[in-house]
Amino acid sequence: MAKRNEHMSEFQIALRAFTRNRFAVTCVIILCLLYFGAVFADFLSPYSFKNEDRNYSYCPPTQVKFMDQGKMTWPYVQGIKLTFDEYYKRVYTVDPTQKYPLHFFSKGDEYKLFGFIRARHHLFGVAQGGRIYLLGADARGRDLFSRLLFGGRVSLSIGLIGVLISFSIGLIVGGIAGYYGGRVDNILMRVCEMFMMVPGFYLLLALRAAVPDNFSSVQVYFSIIFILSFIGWASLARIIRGMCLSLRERDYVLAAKSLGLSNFKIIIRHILPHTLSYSIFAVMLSIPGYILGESALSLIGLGIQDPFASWGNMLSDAMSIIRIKFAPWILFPAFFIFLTVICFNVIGNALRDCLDPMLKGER
Amino acid sequence: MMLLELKNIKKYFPIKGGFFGMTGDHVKAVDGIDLAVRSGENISLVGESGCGKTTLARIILKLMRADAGSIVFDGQDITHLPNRRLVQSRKNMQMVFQDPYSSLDPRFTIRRVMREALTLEKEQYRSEGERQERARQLLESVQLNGDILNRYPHEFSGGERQRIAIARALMLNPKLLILDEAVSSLDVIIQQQLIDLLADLQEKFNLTYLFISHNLKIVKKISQRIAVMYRGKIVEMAPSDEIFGNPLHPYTKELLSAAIDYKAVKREGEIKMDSAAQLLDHGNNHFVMEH
Repeated sequence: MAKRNEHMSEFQIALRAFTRNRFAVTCVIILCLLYFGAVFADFLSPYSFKNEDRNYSYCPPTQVKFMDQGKMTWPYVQGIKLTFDEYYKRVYTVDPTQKYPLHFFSKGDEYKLFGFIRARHHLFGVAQGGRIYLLGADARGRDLFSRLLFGGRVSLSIGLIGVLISFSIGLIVGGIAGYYGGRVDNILMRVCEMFMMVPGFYLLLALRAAVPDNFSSVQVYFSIIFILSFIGWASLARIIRGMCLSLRERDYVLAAKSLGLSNFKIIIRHILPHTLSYSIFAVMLSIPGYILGESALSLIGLGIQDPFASWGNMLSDAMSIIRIKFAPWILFPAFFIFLTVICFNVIGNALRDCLDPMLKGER
Repeated sequence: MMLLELKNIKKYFPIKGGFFGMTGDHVKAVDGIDLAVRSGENISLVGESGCGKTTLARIILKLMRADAGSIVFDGQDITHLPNRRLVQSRKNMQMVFQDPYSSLDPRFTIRRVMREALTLEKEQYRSEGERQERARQLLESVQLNGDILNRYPHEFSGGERQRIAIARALMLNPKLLILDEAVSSLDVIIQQQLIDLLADLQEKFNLTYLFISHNLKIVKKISQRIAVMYRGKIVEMAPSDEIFGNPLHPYTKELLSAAIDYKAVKREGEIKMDSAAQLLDHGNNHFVMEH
């Protein structure tokens, strides 16, 4: 073990510094949980994202009870009675006479795990007749907790895929512009500026308007990714280009050139890896932008369409103050967006802190 | 036999400025250099920083395009050859760079550094074992332990890195080695060791050295011929003893006195450089620019 420690690359050293930052590691764990929830949403959620029961519109979060008349018992939930008060406002009251025990690995809505394994089992559910709303219900009586997990699939993956696409474009364009310089650089950078010139949100809307409105939700999902990465690559390309301009004058690049390596190999091996430490935290800091971009589009109804869930379109329910007043739990998606964005930012900052000595060393 | 012949090499860098980035003036980094290097010879290029030594080295290696002039290497005119046809001459000339801290990619293990150096000789060293054997051999010939292959450059001292860089340059078995200030950034003792090493290597591998330096003292020990460069031109070129015994150009005199005692340097006005000045033969292979 000691021998292995001797020969660590600078990257490994940085990684070790990162793991010492407890706050950042906590954020990594939170994000892992969120992504885990999104991946296994089918199984972890008690209901499917479509499962609705209008009798439970804006039903408040159900309490899981562990005590029955002063004695410990198998967890259960109580029935819920819907009444209207004199202003026809919905009032949900707990009906202590009805008890629905909690079932684990119970059968519920059918789904396909990972898209191909047909299954019916959910991590938990309640006996027939009762409904469990851990985080309350939305307007159509759909379980907010289930929808949050499903919505996470869209919201969390859009950040990753979007960033992947725009960073590939940004790295390649920036790398080429910076390495070759001269006229190539000039043309590519003017193109970048054309993209950066247009205010982001309007470009977002304009591009969305250009997408046919009869798209299926999968197509909409991919067009949103495309739109977001279309906007995002230019700023990165500019920064990478600047770094490459200085990197290409490094002696090891010249050495590689005189050893007869092709330009392509030099860019891939000796130039882009050195922009990596910057890119990694730039990725972390820009993922929230994608998540917020998707949320913004979905919030104004241009993104993922009901009944499919995303944190953005779940929030569009919360656009009226009256609803928030009567059913504050519909703000949960906002909390999750907040949590994710904070986590990515903290991780990004921590990465910058531990990669920066390296950047300095490379300068 | 001439290994390398440079004729009237010029490189001007435009100074951009003013409206619309129009090109105004030029920096004449290399201004009409003629230089011939015999096979097996040890020639030094000396001059203050900014006089165009490094630019010239890069032009020879075709890392940079010359604005004018011709480069003949090993009987082949490589002035206008495209990159893909440079393979042969690339194998035969290599460079050791000034800064040992930046000439090795910090992300590469020594193994990768050395393996990469064999890119042009892939056919000859097919198996990974053969390549490693070659790397080990060369590392040992620069007096480094052969089993440092798993380490990263940041684990080495400047002198060791420079040795690695030399070993890398020798991987392709070149004829000409350009040493661009290869020992300048090291301390005096290490410098001495490296210079001794270079002399050994020259004998062992039949190398021709083009030694670039600003320090005449170092150059004295190692080279047979010295060319003094000033503002993009060679102002004096002569066998080593001649330069030290009988310097003729004012700039050479200045350099010499600086090498002995930097306080002694006094500049009596600007050294005049006529753009039409020619190198004049003073006998004994001693050429001096008119002044």
